[in-house]
Amino acid sequence: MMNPVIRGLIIYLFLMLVFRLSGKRTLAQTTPFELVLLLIISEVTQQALVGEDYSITTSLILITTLIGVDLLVSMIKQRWKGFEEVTEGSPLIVAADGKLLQNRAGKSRVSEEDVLEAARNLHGLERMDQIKYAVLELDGSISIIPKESAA
Amino acid sequence: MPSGIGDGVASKLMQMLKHLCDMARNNQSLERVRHDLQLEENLEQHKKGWMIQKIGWAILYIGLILAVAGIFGTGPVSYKTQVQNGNTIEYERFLRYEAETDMTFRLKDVTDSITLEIPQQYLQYVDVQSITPLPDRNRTINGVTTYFFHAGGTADIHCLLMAKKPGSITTTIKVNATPFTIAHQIYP
Repeated sequence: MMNPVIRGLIIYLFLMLVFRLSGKRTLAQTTPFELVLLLIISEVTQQALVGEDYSITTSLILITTLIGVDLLVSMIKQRWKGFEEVTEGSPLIVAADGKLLQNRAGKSRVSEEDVLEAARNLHGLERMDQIKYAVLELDGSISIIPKESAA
Repeated sequence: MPSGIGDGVASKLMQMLKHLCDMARNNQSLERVRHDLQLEENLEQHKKGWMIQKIGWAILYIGLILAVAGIFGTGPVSYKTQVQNGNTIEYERFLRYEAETDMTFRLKDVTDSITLEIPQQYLQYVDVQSITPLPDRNRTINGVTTYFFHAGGTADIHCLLMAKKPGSITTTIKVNATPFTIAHQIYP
């Protein structure tokens, strides 16, 4: 059986790669279906990590591996900004001055509906023209800065 | 898979990748925004990211197509059949660690008995979980385990196997002295 540390490393790196490739908007909103999808992914991951070995030792090794790699990745991100941009990207303005920036939003898979939903949820705004900026954040959420007249 | 078909598929996949790269490269004019927010928008990084994402999606889907085809086991590319002297072996070329698979021997014109010879080197990679019908007896001599069966006419022997060690293994299994050379690629 493969060493648990190596299994943990492979799973961590693969998940990081797949989630980065799938884009910020993937699984950013937890609709009921996406919640179920996340649960299925975690179940599949758990089986690949543990296999038939349910010993406490393996669990401790795997937890230490995952936390250790995550710590290492966060330290590298802190030290090299470029690495952070590669692994997490950077925020992106998707709407400005009441208008959706079509190319930016399209490429990030953000629709006008997504922006309006965030505007309603966060600030109780009613229309696009009340939005000064909408920013797609690193975690895939959309933050809204309302126009002063609408605030 | 015949190499001609393999080359065709590979060239089609390369064309698809090239097309996706071109698509990602084109139409990259992003709206410039003069803003007073304290945030660093690295547009060049975003453009590169979107391009890499598209290539990544293509690779993911290619991986999925290959998985459906059976390149990682359980699919048409993986299933193999060999026929020698009227005897047949059906097995899977690609296996996954700790996953079960079937290997079936179909024998014709059996007079009285069947001997199935499996090298122990093979058994280091693959565990024989069960054999149906059960052999009358077995013995191991000079690194070869031989199973003996009473049979007549047409007979099938089903072996339920489980891959227990990742790697590549090529071996020769003999059934009533008919040699079948089989190869497995066992994924971790």
